[in-house]
Amino acid sequence: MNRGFGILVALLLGAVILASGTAFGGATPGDVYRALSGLELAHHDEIVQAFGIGFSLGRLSPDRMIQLVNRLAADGGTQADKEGILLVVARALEDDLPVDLLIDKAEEGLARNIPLGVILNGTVGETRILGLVQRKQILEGVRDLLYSKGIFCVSGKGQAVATSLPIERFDRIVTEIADVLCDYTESGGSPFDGHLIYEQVRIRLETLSQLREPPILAEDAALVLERIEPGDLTSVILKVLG
Amino acid sequence: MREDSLDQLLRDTLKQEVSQEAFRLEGLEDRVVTELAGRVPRSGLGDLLKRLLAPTRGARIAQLAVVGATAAIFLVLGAFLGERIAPVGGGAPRHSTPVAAAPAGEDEVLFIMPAPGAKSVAVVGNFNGWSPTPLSDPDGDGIWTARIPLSPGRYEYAFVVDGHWWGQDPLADDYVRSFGQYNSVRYVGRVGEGA
Repeated sequence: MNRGFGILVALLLGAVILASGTAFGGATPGDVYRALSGLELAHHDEIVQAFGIGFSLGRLSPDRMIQLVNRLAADGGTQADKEGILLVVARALEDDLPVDLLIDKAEEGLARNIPLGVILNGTVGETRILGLVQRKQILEGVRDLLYSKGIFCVSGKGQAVATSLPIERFDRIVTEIADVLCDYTESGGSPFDGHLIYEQVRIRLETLSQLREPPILAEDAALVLERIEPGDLTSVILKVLG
Repeated sequence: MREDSLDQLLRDTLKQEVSQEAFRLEGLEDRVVTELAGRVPRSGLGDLLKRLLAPTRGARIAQLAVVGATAAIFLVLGAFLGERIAPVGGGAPRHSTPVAAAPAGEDEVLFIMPAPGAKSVAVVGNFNGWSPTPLSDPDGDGIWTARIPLSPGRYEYAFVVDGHWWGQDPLADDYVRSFGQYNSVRYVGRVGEGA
């Protein structure tokens, strides 16, 4: 009897803990806006408006953003750098760019205790570190490259036709190519080795397209790899590095 | 090891120890495992349970010992049969880290970090927002492990050993530079690997 009662209590406790976890998981855009208001931002309205666009398009997750905002709030860096990081994300959203890559790098940099100024602007010299500013430029360069090759995206629930991909698929391709270019550059690779860069892009896209439940469809990877050329990738990097 | 062989071995071991009044729960699993070889005769597990549950010498302590032994047997049996019938991770290497089952469509990805003498080991990556997920070393052999359910995709990560980042996991598929340091890269969901 006593044992049965104990089991019942344990089960009830488990249910309560489970329910609490469910209730606490899942921030809302409102939570993000409230957290932002605690940062005393000079461009508060612009950032909130851009984040609103990001939430509505599904490019921004409230859970990830609130984590980033809270980490920035807890960081000892300058207010200008904190705002600068949020502004890069906001302006990428205004410029119709995916922002996963930017948020991920910001989170990693904060976790590594990298100074906010380096996370934002990077460093040049012996070890090149790309900041969020340069990463946004590379995202933009890749997106424009795809546009120039006749590969577009359709927002919302539009149907993919010919070379117009749904926004999630288009964003994923832009993000992955940009990430390869950033990795390549940070590893010290020369932007003039276009064939090497192209090969890195090919490996990334094809590997992802061959996974179970692939994050990138094989047809999308084939389309992009058929249309872009090594020299195109060199141009994207050179534009950023000057 | 077939179920019938295990059945017989467990029965013989228990019978011997109870008859010698030397039954000990401590080390039972090791003693059974040590003797796991070449037992053939088959008999029902029901008989064994009936005998175990029936009063043996009338002594309360002996009864409690038998009940405890039964529980231990089921634990050992469950562990053996569970491993044989449904190996975790589709045949991934065996290890001792307990984890919840992965949600549908996700793989339980094993992270291993040898760090003898470390006080804490965690893995950070783009799958957990670069927030530490602790590894554990329950047997204290210096091999820290964690299994994390992940959807198919490409993941960057590093280990954090007593606060120091270590981004060159020998089990990684690739490595990239990030903020002047290394990150390991793992592809999850390759066709032909665990589901």
